[in-house]
Amino acid sequence: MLGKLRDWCDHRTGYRRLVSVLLIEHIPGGAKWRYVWGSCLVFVFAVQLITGVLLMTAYSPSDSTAWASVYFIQYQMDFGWLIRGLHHFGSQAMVVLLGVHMLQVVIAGAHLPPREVNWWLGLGLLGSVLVLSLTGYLLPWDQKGYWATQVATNIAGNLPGVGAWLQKIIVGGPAYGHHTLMRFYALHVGILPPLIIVLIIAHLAVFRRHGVTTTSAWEGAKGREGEGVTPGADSWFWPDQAFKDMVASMIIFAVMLGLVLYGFGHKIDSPPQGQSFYDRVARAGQDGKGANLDAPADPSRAYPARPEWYFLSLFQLLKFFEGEQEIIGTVAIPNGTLLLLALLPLLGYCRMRRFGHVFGILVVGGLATGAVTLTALAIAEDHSSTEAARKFQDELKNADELAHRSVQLATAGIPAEGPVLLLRRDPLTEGKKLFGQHCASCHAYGSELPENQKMVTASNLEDFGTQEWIRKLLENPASPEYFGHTKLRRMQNWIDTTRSKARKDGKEGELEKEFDDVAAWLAGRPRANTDKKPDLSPGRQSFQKRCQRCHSFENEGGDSTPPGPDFTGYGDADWVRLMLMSPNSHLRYSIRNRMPAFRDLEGTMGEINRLDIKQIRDRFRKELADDASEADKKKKEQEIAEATKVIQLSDIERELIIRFLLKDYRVVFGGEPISGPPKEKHENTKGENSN
Amino acid sequence: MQRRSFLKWVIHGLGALFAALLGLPAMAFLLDARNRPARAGQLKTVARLNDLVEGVPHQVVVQETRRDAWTLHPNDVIGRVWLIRRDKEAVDAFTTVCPHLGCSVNFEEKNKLFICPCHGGTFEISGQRVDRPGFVNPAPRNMDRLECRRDPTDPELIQVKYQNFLQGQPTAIPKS
Repeated sequence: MLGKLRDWCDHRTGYRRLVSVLLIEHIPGGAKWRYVWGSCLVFVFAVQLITGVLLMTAYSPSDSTAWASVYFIQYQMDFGWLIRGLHHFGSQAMVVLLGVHMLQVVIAGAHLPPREVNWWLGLGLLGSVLVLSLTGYLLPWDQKGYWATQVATNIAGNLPGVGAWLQKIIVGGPAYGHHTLMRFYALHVGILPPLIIVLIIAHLAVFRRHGVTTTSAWEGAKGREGEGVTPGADSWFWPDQAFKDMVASMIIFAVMLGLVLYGFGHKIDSPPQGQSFYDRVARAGQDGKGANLDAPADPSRAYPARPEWYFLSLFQLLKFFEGEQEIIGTVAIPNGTLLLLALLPLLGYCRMRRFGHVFGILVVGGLATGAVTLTALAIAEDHSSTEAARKFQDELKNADELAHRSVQLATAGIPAEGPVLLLRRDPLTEGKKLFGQHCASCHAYGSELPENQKMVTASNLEDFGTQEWIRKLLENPASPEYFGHTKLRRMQNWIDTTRSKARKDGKEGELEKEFDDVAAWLAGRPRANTDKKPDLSPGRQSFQKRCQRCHSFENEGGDSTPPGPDFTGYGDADWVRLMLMSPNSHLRYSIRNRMPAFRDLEGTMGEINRLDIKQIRDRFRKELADDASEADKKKKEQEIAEATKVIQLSDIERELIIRFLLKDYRVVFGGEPISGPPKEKHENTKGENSN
Repeated sequence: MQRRSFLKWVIHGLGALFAALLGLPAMAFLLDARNRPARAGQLKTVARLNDLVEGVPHQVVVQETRRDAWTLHPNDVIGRVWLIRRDKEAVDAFTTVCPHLGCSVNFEEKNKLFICPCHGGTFEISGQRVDRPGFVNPAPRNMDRLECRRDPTDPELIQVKYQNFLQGQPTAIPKS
């Protein structure tokens, strides 16, 4: 049946002839392991084509999507880690195999006449594959690729004369952006692979014309090639050489697979629970399997750039040339080397053949030694104990942490504006920095911030609003960790009186228990239930009994003069937001406030914010009796000025600080109702009541 | 000859192994979309009752969190809805997506009919599929009704649960 189908097919297409042409190749001297390298290259290239097309179905080349789509491939799509990992290590395998193949060819003298053209085709393939590697390195649009490729395109830009122009054409604009990626992508998937396929076909066709080079240097060949000794019996490509090629290819594939399974990626710290075995394998990228993905490319964030390892020798070469001479290292030597390689076969004519062969081996061997030495030097320098190397390693470690963090953040979803926002809008990364800039001049954060503890004038905000934090405050409000640096003493006074009274009554334990309850209750960010059910928790009861005279809660209490801050939703984002934007509000510290209000005075709400602050000042002024003396007025004015300081802070920055403070480390997407002055419902209703 | 056939077997065996090692994950990779089910919509406020005139269809948009592969849109338009106030209390909601092949259904003021501009799927103002002799209506079913209610905490607000349905079916089957 199958045979008939084949006959039918052969009759129509003549495929058997093609197969026999491809497979029936006479190999004088027999199949050899050292002939496998070319086939291995074709094999790995085929793997690259397959995995490459698969990646094309999921990759999206643009400044705002490239990293995100690669992240998605690597961490979310079934076996994306495997496909991408094979493609990544396949590219490295190709570079290694190219080197081995070239060395083998030169040693065998297979570049000498009449095989010059094939040698040149091979050099074309070498160049194409290297450009393929270079363009592929940029595509994930991560910090590593972004900064390393900058170096490559800047080298092009340094060419005398045409450099600046050429760079602009390659980059697709004056700076890196969408078009850089799309051009590199088009080169990587649309131009170079077909070019390589054509070159491979030509390379094979020319190779078949001349056959394998049986005469090799190590077997002590005599005379012209082809007349030398042919050790071993002749055999055929199929199946003898094909077997060796297959085994070698599979060994290489196994190595690639091994590297992928070893894993060079960042793990997801808390992967989804309850995944099936299949899910865990299909998404092993979450377990760090596959290739590495660095943090999203961010021009605002420096990166200790190094090229991919096989370009390290060129990187090291650059260090030997300075200033004007740099072009020797970047352009002259690499291109000179290529030219020298291209000229090698021409040294094989007539009597020069012997010399040409030896010279070729020396040149390629020398190049290999040189490249290995330079690479080793580059690695050694980066790992030495010099100041520069230590700094490099520190930066690398820092960059690696950011990459790890980016991957964790991306799991919750990436902003449409692009993955670069992940870190820029990360409360842990950026919020902390902003806290350092805007808050740490007064507030400490643990023992970390600020550096100069003498500057601290307000509470320590590490663990702010947690049960423990509140409980310690109730222990000793005037401690330097709380209000010790401020002029606020009423709380301490009240605590002292209440404690001594309890001590007198022998109810100390009871009081402390009540404090415990209040701390636990407040730490739960209490707000009124939507169903209006009364809160019967002991914390609420104790709060009512002990705190509510000064501190209002959901429109109740806070009747002392002056009242303390309102505790509705104490310590939640809304509470902190009002504290940040209107610390002088009647719901916070009012005229006794000394913290600046952090408002956006530059954005669209700037005018409204300014007006709001003016109204707050006017309200404070009204508290002064009409017949107040000049001195009183002056004093009041000063007090108002101190209570109503304003500092510029954008809405996004404020939200980052709030989330950092509350240890809510989700990315701030924006778009939430975060603009403008916060609601002051309570204040308004109170005002209505009193009127 | 035995040696040759052994070599051929090994070549084919290794080839099959390689094809499986790369081919099976490749298939799973290409079929990955099966891991991303359609998200069940939530009741979202789309309009105020007082803004709706009785008997006049109003088109509104539904905004919700939308997840598109890696991108999270916190508040994106996920669909459009025709709202028709029946009387003082009741409001009907229909998706604007035509049950025929998914174009967007328009309301024709003149005939008081919903008509799809692509292939002419036609519906009464009640959402009922127009079915009269001599008229070929490509729509396989009535317009797709969406869950709609008044917000329990503020009855003035109209809430709709947006959903996508399979096209071409005689009954409304939610897309999974």
